[in-house]
Amino acid sequence: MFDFSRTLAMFPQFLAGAGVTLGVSLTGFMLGIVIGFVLLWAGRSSWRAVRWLGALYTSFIRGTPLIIQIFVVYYVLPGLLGIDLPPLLAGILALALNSAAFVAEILRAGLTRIPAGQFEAARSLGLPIVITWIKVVLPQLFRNVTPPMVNEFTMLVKASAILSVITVVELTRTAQNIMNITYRPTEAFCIAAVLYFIMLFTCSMFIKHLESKTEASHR
Amino acid sequence: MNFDMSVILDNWPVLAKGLVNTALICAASLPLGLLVGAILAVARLRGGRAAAIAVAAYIELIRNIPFLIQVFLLFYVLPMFGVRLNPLTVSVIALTAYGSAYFAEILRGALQSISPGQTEAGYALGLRYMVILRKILLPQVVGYILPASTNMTISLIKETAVLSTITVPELTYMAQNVIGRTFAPIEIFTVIALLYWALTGALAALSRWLETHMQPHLAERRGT
Repeated sequence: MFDFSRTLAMFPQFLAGAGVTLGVSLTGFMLGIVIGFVLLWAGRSSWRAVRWLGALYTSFIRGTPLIIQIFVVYYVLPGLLGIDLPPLLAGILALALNSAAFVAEILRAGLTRIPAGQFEAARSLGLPIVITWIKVVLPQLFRNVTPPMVNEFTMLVKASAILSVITVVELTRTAQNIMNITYRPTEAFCIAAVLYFIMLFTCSMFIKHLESKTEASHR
Repeated sequence: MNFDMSVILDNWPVLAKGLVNTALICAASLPLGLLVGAILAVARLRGGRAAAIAVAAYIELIRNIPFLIQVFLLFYVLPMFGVRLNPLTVSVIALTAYGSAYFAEILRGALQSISPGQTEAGYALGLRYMVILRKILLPQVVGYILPASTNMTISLIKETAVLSTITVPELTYMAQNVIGRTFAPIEIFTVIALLYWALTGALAALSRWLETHMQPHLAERRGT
């Protein structure tokens, strides 16, 4: 019933697809962290309008399906801005805009674990705000947020499968293309599933390891 | 840019049908997912070693494979075994399977947070596990389960949009149909994004309301 021979012959293509999946997710994630910090700043702004805009953005991203966000970036944004976005760029941008909202929430939660006294202490020592952030806040924040950030990255790898609908040739699209050649959908998607599982399970093991390490350091 | 409201009004019946289908799919798979999730959680905690390993494997598989791939696998694998289902049924099965894994983990985490002494006390009083679960454990963890489950339910609603790829006539699929006929992506995508936003927002508000209104009831029970 199952016949993997022809599908497995294309294994290098699957690996290339998995590579694109990881690359797209990682680039989107990096960009998402940058935008996430902007959102974090917006949430702490002293202007109510900026805070409100940031909250509105986060609520929109968390309240609408990613596939719609991808469609909006790919089909609507070029029309509004008058630019031509190739699928790969649109995909990375959509992932970044999506993860930014979640990254900002993770950063905000991480910041609440840093006592306000540290900001006050740094200020009374006369440290400029930039130095305070670089030398005092960020190193602690980084340690606080690493497990949820890796988790967010796994969410992004899973989400990147949806980029196949705008013809980004990542792992899912590769599987679809190979299915169209071999007429063996089950086999193609099984191999894709195994590759996804290996990538994502490694990440979740890593999170467990990080969490046990943080727990040990708190004792 | 000009925003043409008439496109939305003309095609409203089609979009409304999609919205109803999205709501129906969620309404069918949510209770099913909760039920299967509860069974899985209890099986993992009390069902012995073999059951615990099987459930853990199932949960890890569901959580570490993208939902889209799960949908494709169900959509293409079932016909190989001679099972022919319409896309709507496939979606309910896929969402139930997906949701149950996450609900099982939420419930397991909640149940494990209660000291085992309470279960032991229940057994010592001669209660069966189902009674202990219903009368002692579940009432304590509702406050924890509710927000987590709401988040999961919102995720489920959002995942239904992915079902458009296997031609399930839900909101996103209907919207794509309308765009194919009217070439008005800006208007249609804006309106369905707002519809999803309203749907998930209403749910989040409902959950917050339930949370605050269940506190007095819980406090009363703790007091007696």
